[in-house]
Amino acid sequence: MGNGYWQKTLRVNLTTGDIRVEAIDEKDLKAFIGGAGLGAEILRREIPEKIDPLSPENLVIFATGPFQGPSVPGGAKFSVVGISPQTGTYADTAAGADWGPAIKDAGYDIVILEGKSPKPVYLQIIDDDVQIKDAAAIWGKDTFESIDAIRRETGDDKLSVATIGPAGERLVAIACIAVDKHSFAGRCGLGAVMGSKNIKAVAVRGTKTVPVADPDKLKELIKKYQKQIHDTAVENELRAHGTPGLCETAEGLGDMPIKYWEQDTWPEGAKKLGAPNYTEQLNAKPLPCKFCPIGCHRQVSITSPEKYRYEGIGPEYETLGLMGTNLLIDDPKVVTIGNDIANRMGVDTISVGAMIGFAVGCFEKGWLTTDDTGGFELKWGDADTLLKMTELIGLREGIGELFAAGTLAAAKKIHPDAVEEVAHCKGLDFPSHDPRSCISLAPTYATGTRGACHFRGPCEDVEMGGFYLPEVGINEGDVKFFEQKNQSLVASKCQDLGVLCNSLVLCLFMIDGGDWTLTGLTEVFNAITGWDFSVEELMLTGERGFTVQRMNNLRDGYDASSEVMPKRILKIAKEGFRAGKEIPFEAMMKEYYALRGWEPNGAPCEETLKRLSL
Amino acid sequence: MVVNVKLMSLFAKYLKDYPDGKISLGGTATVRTLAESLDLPIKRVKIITVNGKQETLDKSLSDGDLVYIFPPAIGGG
Repeated sequence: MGNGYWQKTLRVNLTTGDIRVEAIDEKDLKAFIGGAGLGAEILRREIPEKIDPLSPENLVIFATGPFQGPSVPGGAKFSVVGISPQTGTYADTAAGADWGPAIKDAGYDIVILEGKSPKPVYLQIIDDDVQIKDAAAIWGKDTFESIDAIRRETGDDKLSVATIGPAGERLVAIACIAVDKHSFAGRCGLGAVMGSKNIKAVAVRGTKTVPVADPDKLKELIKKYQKQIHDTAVENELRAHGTPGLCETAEGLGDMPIKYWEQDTWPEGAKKLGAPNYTEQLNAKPLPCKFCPIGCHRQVSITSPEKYRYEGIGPEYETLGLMGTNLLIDDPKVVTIGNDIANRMGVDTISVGAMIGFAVGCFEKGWLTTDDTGGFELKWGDADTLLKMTELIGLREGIGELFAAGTLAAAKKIHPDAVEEVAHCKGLDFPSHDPRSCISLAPTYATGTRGACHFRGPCEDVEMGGFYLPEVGINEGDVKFFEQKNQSLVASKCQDLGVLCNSLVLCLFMIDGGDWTLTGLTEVFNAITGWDFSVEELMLTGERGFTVQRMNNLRDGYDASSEVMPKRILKIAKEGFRAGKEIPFEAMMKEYYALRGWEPNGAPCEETLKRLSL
Repeated sequence: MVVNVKLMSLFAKYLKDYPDGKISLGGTATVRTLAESLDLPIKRVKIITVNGKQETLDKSLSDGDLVYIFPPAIGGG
């Protein structure tokens, strides 16, 4: 009988070429589950304080959990953990496609990359055969070319490949990791950490099956929940329209970024970018990750105009926000091309869109000129601004050099007043959700262990009616827009959920979109592991993981003083749904700290650490 | 009474027979009455505003009210 884990870490020292397999203690799995929780604990144990994220001291930890072996709905995911070059903080980022199940099938739960290779390499893992291979012929290629080249060179078209693009090689702080031309570990720049280690890609195929505790029960549960989640996603149209279905709701409720968070409303723009227009204009179809009953990703096809002819993956809601409404661009075809350039260069579409919006604002103020851009003007609503800037930032060429270390670092160089114009927490650009609308996002962003992130705590979707967590006391009607009551509770529980999901590793959309309950996923967890966790115990592992992520940040000097809202976001709207509304930030943070059991300086109290067995 | 209705995004199709968004309702009516009359999937009606303020299905409507009904936000990633 197994427990869904191999209890094996593959550790690769890129400096020495040493490859070894280490045992994982079951005690650590029960405490942290895997993925981002266990990755954070490994980081806490292994790295010294305040390292340079682009130095050989940093680690890149590819971590799975118990959900990657069997065909759990939403389980084709993995986390990547390290210190972010964009923020200097703890970071984890996740992707789908096939890589998570592939590494599990190869016989490992975790892969740790350490040190720095003397020359460009990629790692090939086929079961027990692990090789560090020369990447001279692949270095310089974009992410899609890299995946093709590795499959061609190895003659193995079933390899799942996680690769960086030119941005990662050139240490652009917002560089992502692309997986199988389908999914992207996008945020926090861990692609640049791979680049700093001279590793282009990790290519994996496996032929093993990890044993689970109760295969018959698991099969029955998976069948039941696959159907239930699929039926829900058909009914709520997440399958038919993907995340672009959110645009008009988000804009209508003041949640979407417009003109780099300056404009309060733009309903006509959101309508054009969002579904159903998106689905019709782009002939969009579901593009599921492995084992996924929802299929939120989009396969799109553009046949005209000729200059935007395209076949491939389409932009998500987040990208429609940051590359669309944020730049006053309302054409989903333009955003599709911008998205494709970012994907191929290997940069986070959220941060690159944010950077461009920030840059256009600076251009308007005269802080940037055509001397900085190499001759072209930066304008709102301009496709060329988006497409040229995305390429230059990805290639770290021209004005891209100015933005190579992130928006905040660029602002410091651009103008003394520019720093206050950046919408960020801890240096991570805001995603497409506005804490002036969904106020539970304010403590979520401020205390986010990787900075401003809506997906390490999807509280905004609780506020906007998307899902609830009745097992932990989050029910319909518990929060109302702009009212403080219960918002900090929702924020903290959603953060714990975020860490739990990124530890299992489970796509959050199974819950936020598929209505999978915590009770249901706990049943599956117990059938895999043979353990007898309650929902509360499983959620506690999320809180524990979140706390360890925070302890990494506290070690490196990110205490309560780093938990602020940027000035740009404190500006009160004049029109629209959130007109005249203010975030009760200080009061919410006070309540949030009390719920968490933290000292005023941000450190967890002794009793809190004891309760979490830390 | 006549209320002005805006159904957003994936709900817009439930208003296709009323291009001006004006819906006549008899006697006393709530948002629920309105949603039912338009065949909206009640289970998915979570976010409602009436004259710019968040309300529930049980909110009583008055002549001239401006009602927005949004599909819930799912898949915020």
